[in-house]
Amino acid sequence: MNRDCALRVDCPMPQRLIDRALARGARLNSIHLSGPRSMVIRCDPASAKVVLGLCERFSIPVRVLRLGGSSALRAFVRRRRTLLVGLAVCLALSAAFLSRVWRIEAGFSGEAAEYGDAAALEKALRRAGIAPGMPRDGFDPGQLTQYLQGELGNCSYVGVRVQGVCLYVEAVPEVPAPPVYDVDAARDLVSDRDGIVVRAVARSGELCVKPGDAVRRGQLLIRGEEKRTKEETRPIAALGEVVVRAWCTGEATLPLSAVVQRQTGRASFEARLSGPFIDWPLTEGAPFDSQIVETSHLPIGGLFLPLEIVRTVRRETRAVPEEIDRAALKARLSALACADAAQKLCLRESRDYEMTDRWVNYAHEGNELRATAIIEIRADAAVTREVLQGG
Amino acid sequence: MKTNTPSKHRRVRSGLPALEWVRDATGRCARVTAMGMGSVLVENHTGIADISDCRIRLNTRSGPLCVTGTALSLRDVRPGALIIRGGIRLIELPCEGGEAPDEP
Repeated sequence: MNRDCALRVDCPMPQRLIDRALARGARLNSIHLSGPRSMVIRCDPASAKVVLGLCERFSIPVRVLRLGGSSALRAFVRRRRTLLVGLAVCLALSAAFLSRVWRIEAGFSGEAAEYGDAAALEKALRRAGIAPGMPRDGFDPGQLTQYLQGELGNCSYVGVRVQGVCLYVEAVPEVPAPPVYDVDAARDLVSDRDGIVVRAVARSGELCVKPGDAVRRGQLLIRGEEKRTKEETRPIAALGEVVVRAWCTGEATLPLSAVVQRQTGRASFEARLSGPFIDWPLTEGAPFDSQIVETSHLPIGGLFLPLEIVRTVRRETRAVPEEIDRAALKARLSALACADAAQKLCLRESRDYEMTDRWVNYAHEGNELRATAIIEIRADAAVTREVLQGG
Repeated sequence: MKTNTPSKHRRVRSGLPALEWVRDATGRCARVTAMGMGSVLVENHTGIADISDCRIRLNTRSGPLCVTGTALSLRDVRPGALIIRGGIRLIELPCEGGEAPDEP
């Protein structure tokens, strides 16, 4: 920053003024004579103050061309005082904005995030007085965490974090407990379908099948008993899984040939003059037993005379049986049979299963082609008798 | 009988040229240093007698010192020293035995 000051002095005897200023300790950087009685003095702010004091004392006209140092800073601030006010207002508004919470993000995480009740969390936050626009120091995150844990109940962790103008609430729902079996409640596990055993594991009870065995629906798979002594057994709840290979079939049938109407080449033509109050036949044509009729209207009078010739063409047809393309028929049958099998599978299977294979067999039945789609699955077939009887 | 000869009024030169530095060291005599063609440094002046853009007259203990030229200006004006800048045409030095003018 240039700290020099520039003064224009109109003085009849400039040498006297310069000598007096020097005697008072001023240091003048340059003196330019712009006229016989006028000069421009450039000096530091302290010397400018001395020169200005002398000019005021002796009533010498002086004009400040440029100020430097703190005086220049004061003048700049005086000129830009509205800018300072604006900055102060901006700072105040920014401080007011940043001192509040404007965005609240609440959500669930963890393995059981899908069990979280978002509506209950939102309701609990509303009851705690948490809303956008509230002061950042208007709540205690620790207390809010405890309050939310008490309100939600089934959360293993609740975290509350304030970052900037955002409030993040993270809740981790509890993982639901697995089903508990009463070992003393005696029961057997039987097969709920026909199939071939692929894998058999008994966690409690006696396994009655082994891999490779064919089982029927209702057949005992794991007997619910264990040996207490060599001769004595006691009933327990059978536990385990028996994975069987089972099949689901779907069928579809379509004819091998189709009847299509073919034109024989014979045709008859008929025409008549038609109007609002007139219907006058011009030519007659005989109809056929099986025919295609084409009718065309030919206007002859225009808008003011709405007359037209109605021309009817009858073309004789004959029903001819034709073979359907075998590849297209098989493709259509395959799609229909697979869709039927998949629908049956969806209706029958309520437990998890793994689809391992799928194929389609075709068979001729008279003039029809039958497609049988077979879907092979692997699923746990061990269920209790109650489940089997209940459906 | 001895007669006064002109040799008696003749100024005596110092025998030791090094003693010339003593006068400089005392700082009472004006010193004018021309720097190039456009600057003149004047030291040990006693004040500004007259100032205009074509002539600047300074007081010294030996007499007035006048610098004539065009577009003259003063730089680095300090008590007892200043620099004259501009198109300098003539520097008139005070005579050695001249009287000092009155202080302003």
